[in-house]
Amino acid sequence: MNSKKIMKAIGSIDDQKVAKFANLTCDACKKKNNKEDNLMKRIGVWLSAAAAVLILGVGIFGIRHIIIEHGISSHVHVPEEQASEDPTMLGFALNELYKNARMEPDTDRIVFDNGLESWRTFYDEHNISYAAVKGEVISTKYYGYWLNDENSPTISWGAEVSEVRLENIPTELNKLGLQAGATVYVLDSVKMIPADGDFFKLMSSKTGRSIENIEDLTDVDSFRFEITANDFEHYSFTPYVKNNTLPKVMGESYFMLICTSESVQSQLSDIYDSIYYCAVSVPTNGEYGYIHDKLGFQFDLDIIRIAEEMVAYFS
Amino acid sequence: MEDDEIIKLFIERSEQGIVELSSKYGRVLMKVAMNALGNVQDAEECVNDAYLGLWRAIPPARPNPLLSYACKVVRNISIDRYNRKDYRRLQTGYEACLDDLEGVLVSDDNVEDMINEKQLASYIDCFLNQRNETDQLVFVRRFFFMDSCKDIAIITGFSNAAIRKRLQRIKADLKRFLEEREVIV
Repeated sequence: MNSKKIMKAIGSIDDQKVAKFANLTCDACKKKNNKEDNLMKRIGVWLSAAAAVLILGVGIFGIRHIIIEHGISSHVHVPEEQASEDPTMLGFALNELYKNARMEPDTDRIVFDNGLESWRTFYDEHNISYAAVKGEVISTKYYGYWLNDENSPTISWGAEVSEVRLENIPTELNKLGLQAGATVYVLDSVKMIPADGDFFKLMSSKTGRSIENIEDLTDVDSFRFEITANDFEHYSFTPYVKNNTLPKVMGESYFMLICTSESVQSQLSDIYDSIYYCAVSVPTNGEYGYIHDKLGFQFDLDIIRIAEEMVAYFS
Repeated sequence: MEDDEIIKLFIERSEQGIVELSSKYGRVLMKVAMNALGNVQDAEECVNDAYLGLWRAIPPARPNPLLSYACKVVRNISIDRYNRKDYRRLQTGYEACLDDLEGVLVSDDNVEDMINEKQLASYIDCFLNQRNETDQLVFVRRFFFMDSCKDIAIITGFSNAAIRKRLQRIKADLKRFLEEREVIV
């Protein structure tokens, strides 16, 4: 375990040292490279051009492939153009939050200027360790379905997955073994409101099977929904699927990361390959649960229980 | 192509930037991933992921030097992959490094003020600054790039045994250096 930490630390050593020793090759390799260079020269421009095209093709294809895999279409079987443009977008609220957040100088603590200090009290009272982390949202996907009852529109299920590159790792979180520059996936706010009957199943894009147990939740990024309800026509399901549609939240942001006990974290790492934390979207008006209530979410700090709920509901 | 020009392509969102990056540093990045994982397919995927990571990071990032940044990204991704996948049966470079570094750091779960990676990295930097260039090379190649001792021996022209001996000495000194500063993880 210690050696893992030191290896991670070595990953953050001075850039100049890394650069200085990065391009070393032995004499034999240099000779071999020179031979290759000469060969290339002899064969001529055409081979070079062909190689370049090959590299170009592999590069672009590879990148595009990855991007597509992270896009909407591979995860959800609902046409993108049907995605809702609801103004109550969570991102709006989050943006309001983040722009009112600032880091205390020379500390790891975050300050919210809108009376949100009550969160600290809440965490402290529940013996939850927390820390502010400065990170950059690389991408955010929001998965959710409106279950539009005429009288009471609510979100039936929603989850936001953000890919976040962390810039600073507070001491409190160091035990989790993350390092600056690491990219993590942040799962935010998952909630099902029990509905009358099974309306949809959560399907794994990877396996093509429904999520049956907690181990199947390892790849949150590739969920898709399969509507199974017979009485589906009673409701209008509006897909509320967003990809990179939180522009105001994209880029540098502050995150309130919470940690439950180490044992829970350990379980988390078993369950989620790439999700290390449950991030909490903090309400803008200082009232606990404001956003979540408004959007039909129920705030819950215990991601394990959320996961279990999901499994119980969908299995 | 100069690094600045590659970064400019990234900023302009030109996919040619990936091509140039791959052309210039692809071999080094592949070497890092291969050293860590010992599996061509996984290494290639890690390098591709690294390209994607860089594509997303630049802009706003404007890393200088680009090579270090790219190496760090691919190293992180490779180690992350190692941790997620069962490589235990394979003798990977990363695992060999872990074995090598065992016992260098003191651990005490009761101590509240544990050092974080950034602080630890700065201590390691400080330690390396006190060493001669050969020691720095051996250390960085071994534990950052995860080269085998044999590879380092080829690069430096020393014998394999000499590299091993030198590494032992560096590790012992690093341990003493950290203990003197009461560095605990």
